[in-house]
Amino acid sequence: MDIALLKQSHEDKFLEAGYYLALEFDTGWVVSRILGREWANLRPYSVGAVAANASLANWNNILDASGRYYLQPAKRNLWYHHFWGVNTPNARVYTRYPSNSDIGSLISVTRIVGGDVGYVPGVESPYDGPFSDKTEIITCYERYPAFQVSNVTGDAFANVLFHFDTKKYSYQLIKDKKLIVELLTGKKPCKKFTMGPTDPSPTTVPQWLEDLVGDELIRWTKTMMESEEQVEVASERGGGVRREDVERAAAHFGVPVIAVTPQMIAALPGRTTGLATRRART
Amino acid sequence: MKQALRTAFIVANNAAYQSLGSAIPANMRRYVYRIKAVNQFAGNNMLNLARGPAAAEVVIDHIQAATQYETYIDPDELKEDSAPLYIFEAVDANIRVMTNNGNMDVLIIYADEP
Repeated sequence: MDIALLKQSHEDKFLEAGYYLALEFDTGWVVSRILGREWANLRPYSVGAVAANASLANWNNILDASGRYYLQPAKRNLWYHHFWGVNTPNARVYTRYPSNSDIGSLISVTRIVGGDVGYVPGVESPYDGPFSDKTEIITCYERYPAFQVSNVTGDAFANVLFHFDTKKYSYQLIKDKKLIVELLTGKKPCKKFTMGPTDPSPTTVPQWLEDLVGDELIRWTKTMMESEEQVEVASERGGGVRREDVERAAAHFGVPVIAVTPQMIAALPGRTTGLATRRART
Repeated sequence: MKQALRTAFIVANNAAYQSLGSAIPANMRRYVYRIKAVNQFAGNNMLNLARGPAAAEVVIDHIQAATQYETYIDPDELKEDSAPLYIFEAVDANIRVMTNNGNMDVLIIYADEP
């Protein structure tokens, strides 16, 4: 029986000049606009043999012979956008991004290498493509992924090879709050990418990037994303509504955080001060 | 990968193992898609097809011939989506061949891929 495997090419997911890209870090979003791009690739990259019923001895950071990270931008003024495939269909590939944060856990306990959770099977992202969506990684300077390969079969893998397909982007940081609101809330198209796991949190903002954007602006994006309707009030107050009030209101009224209104917060039991009060005064 | 197909030929003998084709490149696998063997010996003969570097051969298949000029071809027709007959790893170094009685012509069609 013939099976048709239809997938969108990962190449369609690379960004064009002029596109917006928002990267989510633990304290908020860094928004940028792509200025230009250049292709690059790495193939083959060998992680070596994997014995039967075993895994690699160590996580592999995809280094060159001099210990440089292939998947980390060489300079601060670049983002790297990667997809990858692997030549061994039965291989289970586990990822960390950044290199100390496990990706793909389902339950509160972190997924384990060799387990049935949180891996990309080689057959799902073959060496010559099409590459799986799960293999997408966007990196910035000082942030890079790590890979582990597991063999749950009874036959050794002689040589596991990776193929990385990459676009390098030059970019401009966006600091206009109005534009950021439109981009992050879907009013304007913007590619959004979480830098690491969502739980417990994405990776921290590299210090050099925080210095460029500003910690206050990054934190403001998070407050704004938690409740779009609070944007105006948040701007007026400078620091945003209290996050715990939004979460309490969402839980109390049984609605998503994004649907919480100032009236809901004002109506929270036991609340004596709040937006309604503040608005009434103005 | 039809564009990457190559052929290799050798006259195997019963004196010593010989390498069939070039060395298998690093970070590649050698996929053998077709094999043809013609017995040149005036009598029964058998080809040992082996993997591994010189002096460390491991036989992976035998091809027999009862009479002179008996020809073995597998598969009869090589199709675009044919599965490989044999897969050799880079650690195998070479495809090695040797017979038990006399000469045998051996031709393979193969491709080196990651």
